[in-house]
Amino acid sequence: MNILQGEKKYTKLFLVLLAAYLVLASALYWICGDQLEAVKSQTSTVSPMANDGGLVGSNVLEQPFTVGTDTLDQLLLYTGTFGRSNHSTVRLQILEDGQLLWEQEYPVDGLKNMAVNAFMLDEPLQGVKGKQLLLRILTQDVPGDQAITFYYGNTVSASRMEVAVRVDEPLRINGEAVNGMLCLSLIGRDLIAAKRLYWPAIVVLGLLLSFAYWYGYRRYRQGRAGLFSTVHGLSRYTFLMKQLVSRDFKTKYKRSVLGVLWSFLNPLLTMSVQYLIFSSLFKSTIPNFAVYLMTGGIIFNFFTESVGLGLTSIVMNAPLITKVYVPKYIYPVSRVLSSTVNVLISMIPLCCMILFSGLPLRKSMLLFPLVLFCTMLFCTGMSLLLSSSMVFFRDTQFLWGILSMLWMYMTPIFYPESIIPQQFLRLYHMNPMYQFIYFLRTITIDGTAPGPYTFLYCGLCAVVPLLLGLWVFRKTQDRFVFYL
Amino acid sequence: MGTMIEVNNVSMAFRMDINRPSGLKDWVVNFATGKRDIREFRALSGVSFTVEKGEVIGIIGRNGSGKSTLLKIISGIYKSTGGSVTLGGNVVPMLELGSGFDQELTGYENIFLNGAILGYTEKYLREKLDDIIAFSELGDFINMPIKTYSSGMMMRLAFSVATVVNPEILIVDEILAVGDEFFQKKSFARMQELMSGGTTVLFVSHNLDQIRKMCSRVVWLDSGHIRMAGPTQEICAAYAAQQ
Repeated sequence: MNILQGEKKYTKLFLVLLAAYLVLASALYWICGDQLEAVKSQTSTVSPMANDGGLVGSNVLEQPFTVGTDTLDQLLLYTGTFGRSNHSTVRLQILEDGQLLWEQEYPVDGLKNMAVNAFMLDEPLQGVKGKQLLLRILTQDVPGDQAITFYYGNTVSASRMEVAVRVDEPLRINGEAVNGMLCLSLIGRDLIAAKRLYWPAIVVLGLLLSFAYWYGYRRYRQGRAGLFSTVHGLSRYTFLMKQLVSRDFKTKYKRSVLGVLWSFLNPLLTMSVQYLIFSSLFKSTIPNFAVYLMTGGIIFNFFTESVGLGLTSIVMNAPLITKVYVPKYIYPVSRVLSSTVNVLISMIPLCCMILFSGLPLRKSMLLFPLVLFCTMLFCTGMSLLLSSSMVFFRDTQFLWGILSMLWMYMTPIFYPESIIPQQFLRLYHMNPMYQFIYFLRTITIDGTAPGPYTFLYCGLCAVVPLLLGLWVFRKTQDRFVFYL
Repeated sequence: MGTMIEVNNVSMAFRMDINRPSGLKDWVVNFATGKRDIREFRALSGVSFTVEKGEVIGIIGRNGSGKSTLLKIISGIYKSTGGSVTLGGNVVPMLELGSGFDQELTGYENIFLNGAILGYTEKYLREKLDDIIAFSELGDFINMPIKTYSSGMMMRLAFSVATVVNPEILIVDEILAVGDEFFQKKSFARMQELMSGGTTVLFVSHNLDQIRKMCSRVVWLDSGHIRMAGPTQEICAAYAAQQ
């Protein structure tokens, strides 16, 4: 191929890539532009221990609190109705130094019994960050058979135990302090600059990528090694990759009666079994339990399957590796790609389940390829890392069996995240699988795009293990052949 | 006429770890006791030669003289511990037949899988598909899983896939004569056709008659060194005399 032809081809390729980049950036902005404005957060609350005994007549409940976020959007209160149908109203006020900041009246007939109820603020309250505020709950002339009840407590739950907390500012019922705080949790948002910075960041990143492309191309033309020539070299092996993936796929269901149908059935049946077993435990605390199980199951199964197969890929292909030269990363990568095909097929039952559960289809679901891609990169990194470790230590596969089981229990697949003690949450969230599953559940069950930090974490969880895996694999691959 | 293979001062040292850890436990034990007995085995030292385009080079030597190691370095399976190898084209190794086959797949599917492993393009394989099937004489069995094949059938298919190429550099570790007498003749003819067809060939054999018949030059390896290199008749005579 002469240089002139090559130049034209690569200019064209560059323009195509640039256009794709801009289209993707715009699509991302369209899907989750709103989430770039602010990060939503919810404060923890005390466990309900005692209640006010039912508010009959006119009562005032007062609870001092502070807001840690830029805006205050919702108040979550633990209430009880004891099955009565109530028709009165309750008035909520927020005061600062005795001065009324906000007031709203809510009908009580929609309140759930013995549960957390959300009281939305019509207009988010702004400019109250860090200030000493007072929540006042007022009831007026409530008949005796229509009392509603608010709960308070002085403990927080920590893995099956209740731990006492210091009550600095107790709830006051009609001016009288009780031993506890109101079961109150705040939902607010922190305004961030991500939305303002989005387009400048896209432009800067685009320029950087263009420069990298131009630089790589120049090096490539000078005949020097670099990313460009690596990518160029890869194209030689796409046919092999395709063959290996189709081999995995064909042999997987060979001689089974239902064949490829198993890829549909597997996630459905796994979900059904888990649903049967865990529904009495967790169903009431998790909305859309079926979809919750399925999203977690599919992503985690993708992880264990691809890494489990990728792990042995170098050792299993020893006869080939010692006889024919093929870049060795092809074997683990093709295994991950085979599992990706599988996970794409299991999207069909997931979509059916989403429709069946009556979840509305939202544009946020379009983010699915992104989370799948991140998971794929993570799995590739893990496969590279473990497959090279497997060559030197055959114990790796047994260790992995145990580790993957531990990993499964550390990921909220069939249980709610809320059973994890508060003090371990930060550690718990460092699990990359948690981030991917959280992402997938946010876009399907909640129907919104996750906040920018989730994007950031998912990106890091994908790229860092991948780079680590690549580095270890590159360092060790020349010695594989002596240990096979 | 360009240089196709340039082997420049190549040496290869294997680390022979006597107490090589076979698992994590052994590794920890070895590490803790400080017991690491590593010996070096030099399979090749300071081997240099060049091969021009279209030449057929024979490599002879006794068992353990480093012939296979040299071939593995040239085809990229081993990375040499010293020196360098520069190649002027793509290498197709014909080291062992059928190692890329999958027992569960049919013969037809295996043609593509094995072809891809050997580095053929999809287009090329599709063009040559009929030739491959015809040469292998498998007929309708081509649509049966490989595991139902007899060993002769499998070898025939593997040979057909491996020799359909027109590689720039072909590496042959012993001429592959497989199957019944008739197929052996046919495959030998195919090998000769390949080797005389303008490709550069590196050919390892213990059969001096074959070497004399096919090679233009011969390299004689002796315990990792080049003992002699030069015209075929001369080297073969010296080698035969030494035995």
